Amino acid sequence: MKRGIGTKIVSINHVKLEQRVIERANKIKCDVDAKFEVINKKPQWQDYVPVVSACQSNRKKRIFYGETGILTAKKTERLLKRVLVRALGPIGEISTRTHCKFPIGHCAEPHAANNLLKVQQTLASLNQIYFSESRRPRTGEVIPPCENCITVFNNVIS
Amino acid sequence: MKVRTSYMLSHDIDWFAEIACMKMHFASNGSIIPITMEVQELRSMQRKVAEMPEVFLEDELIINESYLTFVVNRQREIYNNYLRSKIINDDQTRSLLQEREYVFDREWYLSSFKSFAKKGFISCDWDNELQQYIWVARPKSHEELQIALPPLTDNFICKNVELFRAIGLAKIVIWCLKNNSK
Repeated sequence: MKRGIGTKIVSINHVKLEQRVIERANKIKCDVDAKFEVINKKPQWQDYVPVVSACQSNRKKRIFYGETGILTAKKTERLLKRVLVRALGPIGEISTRTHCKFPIGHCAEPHAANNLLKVQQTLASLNQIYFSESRRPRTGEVIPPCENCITVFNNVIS
Repeated sequence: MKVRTSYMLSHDIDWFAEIACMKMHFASNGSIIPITMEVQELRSMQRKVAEMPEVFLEDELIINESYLTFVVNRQREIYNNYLRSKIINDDQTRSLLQEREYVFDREWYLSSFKSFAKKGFISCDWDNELQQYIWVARPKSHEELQIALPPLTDNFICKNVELFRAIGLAKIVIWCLKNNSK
């Protein structure tokens, strides 16, 4: 067992998670806007990501981020892959078990969870992962989780 | 190479089109862009827009306040649900979060749309809940912009007729539809 994982339970600081996801969304916006506003040079366009999310496990204080994007089965951590496939269907496809129109594993939440699981590989359950509310970098809006994420993650803000 | 569906679903893309001489900006918000577009075409259009000067000042813009009120109320409801959620299970955290309350950052929300409206575009956002484009910011007066944009298809217009009605273009849209159906 890796040091520090498995025994100690840390309390989830939701206020900090919320602050950090706002900071992250703001940073993404600033980075994209900075590239757009290049003066005297050809501006390099970069599209915004629609949603950014943050998560933390109840084992460590480190916060992990995820953005909407393609998640391939190959890059998905074993625990997450198992839960996604069992609950929703093959990763990257539209689930026939929910009404969600987004491909499985596509949202910011599974990306954040996957990034966490890459580092904290001894987590036994996805219920040990807690999420911030998700934000849209362009507008700063709070984005409610989709049906897929509510199905898979017990501790997603719904 | 066409813009891939997977890319559209995972990006909030700025795309542009023209209807009845009006230049429109659309923020896709992870939705499918209704017109087929080559990646190169999209990037070149975005670059041209980025290089365009701002021709309107802040006070020469109109903001869709009724939509903004709708967004603020919806955001407040989402945030209250978050506070009530089973995850925030201790009273101390709940009261800390309640003290913060939901603060709608109007400037953050509008900044992107305003930047396009200042360049003379009618700036619209895709609303995932309403499943349609809604205009957010536009200039008070019309300015002829020197940029060639792809015209919108009938299919798009049919799906978003409310958008055009809201910005006073319903008559033009109906006229376009009638003429195109002949």
